[in-house]
Amino acid sequence: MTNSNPFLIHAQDQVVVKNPDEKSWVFEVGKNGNLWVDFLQMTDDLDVLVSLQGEAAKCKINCAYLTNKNNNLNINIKVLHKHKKTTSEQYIRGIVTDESAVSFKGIIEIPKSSQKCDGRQHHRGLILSPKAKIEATPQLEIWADDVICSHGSAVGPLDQNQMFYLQTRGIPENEARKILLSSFLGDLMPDEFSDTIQKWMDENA
Amino acid sequence: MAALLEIKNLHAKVGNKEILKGLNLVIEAGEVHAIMGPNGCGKSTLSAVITGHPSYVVTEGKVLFKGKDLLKMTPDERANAGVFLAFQHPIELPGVGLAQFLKTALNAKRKFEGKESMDAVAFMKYMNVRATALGISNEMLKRPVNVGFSGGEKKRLETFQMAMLEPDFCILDEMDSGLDVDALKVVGQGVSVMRDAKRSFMIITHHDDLLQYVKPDKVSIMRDGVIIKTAGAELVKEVEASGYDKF
Amino acid sequence: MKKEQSDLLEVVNSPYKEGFETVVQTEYAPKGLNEDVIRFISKKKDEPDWLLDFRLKAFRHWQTMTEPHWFHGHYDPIDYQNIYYYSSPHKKAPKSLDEVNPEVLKTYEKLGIPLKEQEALTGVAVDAIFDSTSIGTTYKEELKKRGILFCSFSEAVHEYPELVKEYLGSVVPYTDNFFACLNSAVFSDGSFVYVPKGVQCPMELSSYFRINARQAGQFERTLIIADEESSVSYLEGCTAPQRDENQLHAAIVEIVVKDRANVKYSTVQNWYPGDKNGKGGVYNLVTKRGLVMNDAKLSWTQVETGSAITWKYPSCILKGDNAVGEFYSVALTNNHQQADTGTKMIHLGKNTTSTIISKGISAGFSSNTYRGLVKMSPGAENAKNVSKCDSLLIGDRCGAHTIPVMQCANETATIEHEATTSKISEEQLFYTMQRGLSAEEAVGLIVNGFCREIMQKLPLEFAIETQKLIGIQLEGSVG
Repeated sequence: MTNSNPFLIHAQDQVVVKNPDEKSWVFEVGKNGNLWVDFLQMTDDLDVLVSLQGEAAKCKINCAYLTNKNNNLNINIKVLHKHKKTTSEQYIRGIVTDESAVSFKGIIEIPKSSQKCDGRQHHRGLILSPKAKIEATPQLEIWADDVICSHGSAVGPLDQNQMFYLQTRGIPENEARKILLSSFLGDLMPDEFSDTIQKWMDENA
Repeated sequence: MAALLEIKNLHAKVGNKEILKGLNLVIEAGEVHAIMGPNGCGKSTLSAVITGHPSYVVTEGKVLFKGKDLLKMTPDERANAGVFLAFQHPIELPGVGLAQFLKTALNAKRKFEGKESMDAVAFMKYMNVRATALGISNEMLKRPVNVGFSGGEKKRLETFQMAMLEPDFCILDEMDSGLDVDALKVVGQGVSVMRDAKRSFMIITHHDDLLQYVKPDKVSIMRDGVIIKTAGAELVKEVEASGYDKF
Repeated sequence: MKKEQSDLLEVVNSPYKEGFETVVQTEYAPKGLNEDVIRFISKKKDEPDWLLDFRLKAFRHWQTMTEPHWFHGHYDPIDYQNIYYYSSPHKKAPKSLDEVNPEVLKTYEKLGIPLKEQEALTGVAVDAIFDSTSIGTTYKEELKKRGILFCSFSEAVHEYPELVKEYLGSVVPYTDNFFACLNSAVFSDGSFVYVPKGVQCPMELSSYFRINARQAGQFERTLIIADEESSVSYLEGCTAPQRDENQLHAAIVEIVVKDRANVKYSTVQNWYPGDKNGKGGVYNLVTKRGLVMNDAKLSWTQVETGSAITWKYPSCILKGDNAVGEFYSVALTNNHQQADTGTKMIHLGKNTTSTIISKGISAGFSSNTYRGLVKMSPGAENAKNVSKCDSLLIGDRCGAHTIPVMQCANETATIEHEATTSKISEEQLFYTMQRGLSAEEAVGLIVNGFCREIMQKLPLEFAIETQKLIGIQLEGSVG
């Protein structure tokens, strides 16, 4: 695979997909519908809007970003819980190196009438070089009271205790770094992207 | 017997606080050496300094392992030279499978020793023998390192890693804290099986739980960053009977 | 609607207990804002030329700025020409409490803040600000024996001009933002604190702000300087009478925390929040910021229960190495209140650490936003931030929003943020009520539990009062 910004739609029951341009996506998920989509961003911006418009609609958005050189990416993901009992999960993980910068903005919006919704978002970013930057703005916009909503975001370097643990087992620093970096994305991305990811890791880790 | 580990006048600090204040210790090859001392005496710092944890700074003194200067080596070089630390609080590695982790570690050691890497089949055989002996299930081998395991299971896994890597010098840092009798037996059994004329153990503890399963050759009492007394196994009884205050 | 739910709604509607008005003759500046009004204020305060220049510079700059409208919520436009920028119950600044209008003294007694030292709260020195002027400062002489300067800002301008000149605008320049710029032009009074090198202030210092006059704005300015290795704990309280029109409060707090010094700044903000239908109430638009040097620490604790609109982000500029910043906040909104509050932690120095814990409670038709910024600059080696923001919703007509911004430009720095939004569960409410508590008590108990870790940060003298305040503020919210 040569595309450096691949995506994969795993599930789209009751989903209307609009893709006005390469970088923008609108997903409208109807009653009992289900959306699951994965994005991997290496050079391009991404703008995703998921509108959960029918009762009990659900979505899962996985997004990984891997940036190097002086790439500068904006990643915006918004999930709008338009109807009651809708659920959403977003997992965003990324690694920045060289002089690249990522600005991630994630919004979960639950309007007044949308009771019993569940919205979750997790973001983690790793910074590998002194001139790389991450800006994260996770937002919760909640107007209904009977909901469960959470977001978590963490940005930082590789965990020094994990590095030490691996080294005490005889694994050299470079290799330890590689192990932690590839486990960082874990199984967030599908097998289809693994060659692309592996190539990036080999060149940048 | 020749000295495997020799520590001379070791001073170390974390932040601005000096914790080791001129510590001397000799451990011979084949020796099981218990380090006992009250909480906060610097026992865990000693294990961190020997293995090269980056938060600890050595300000003075020497640590020789097989006659080589350990302090000049990176943590992985020390590991490959034969030093193993069983952590008091094993670190979680989400997403890193235990089997993959051990294979990487084992082959790093083999490379260091100039041997060829073990292939997948040989490795599985090698691992399964040891896993079975220590009651590590297949399911546990597939899970990420230390994630979602109970305290007892984590200590069992540390013992298992020790059996896998066959180090010459094993440091057991407070392995007995918070362990029930069954888990203590597993750790004790692991040590007993591996104990031989060449391999040495340093067992760090503040009471005698683990020492009921592993009889030490020597016991040192540590207080306020130095070793204040070294004697035979009879010292354990003395500590249990009258505590550390008399030392 | 379920029984417990309707009980819950009923609880949140109680009257504002500090809403009375003091009838006193008040001297005003001419209504509206122009250079003459600024000269009038400066003259009233008998200010030196350099300060008038500072005000005029700010005013001229302010005229080039536009009012910001980026925060969550909406409000009637502010008519800056329909406000009195100076109002005082005295023609001249009172030299002692004997010169203070007795009605004003009664006001403070009614609010539970006696100003006569023999009756004063032990262990707490108070500077009382009534509209645009300071009424008096207790324990001033005793503090002075230790070299601690605690007085009104106006007094400091005359007594300690060098200190004021050096630090005024050093943390919040007049160009900073629209409301800070307005304040710099028209600021009336506030408190001044200087703690000398190595001195630990032996008592709580506190300011008590009261807006009384009609259509008057309050523009206080507080300056705290903690010299090397000193420490001080400061608390401000605020109330205003119940009025139909909105009142403007645009304050500045500047804090300088020098090497190895330690400042704790606590706020209990209970300005008039407006009535049940959202009429009246104070617009609380405040700029608070501290500059924190090597190994120094600044800790903000705030309990925000009042005001129709709150717009406030107490911040720390962690300039020195190992500097520590903390922000602990409870923001409670009911009826039609709108709060947009949070903090900024700007990490510049090495090994700087910051902690943010924010608890937002929304009831009625209110809207409650946490907005924050954590910035790791390229020089912030090994800097660490941990943030936790929790929101609790009571009723289905309010909103809770969490907007943290995390900027990391150093590869050794870490930022961790977690946020949750939830409601009081029916099980919790039922369980508590089954043990014999009324819905109101149950909600009060659960909300106080939710805020517990923040309440524990308040000076002991105020923690209990504040717990009660939260109970009162929640009355009628249950639903």
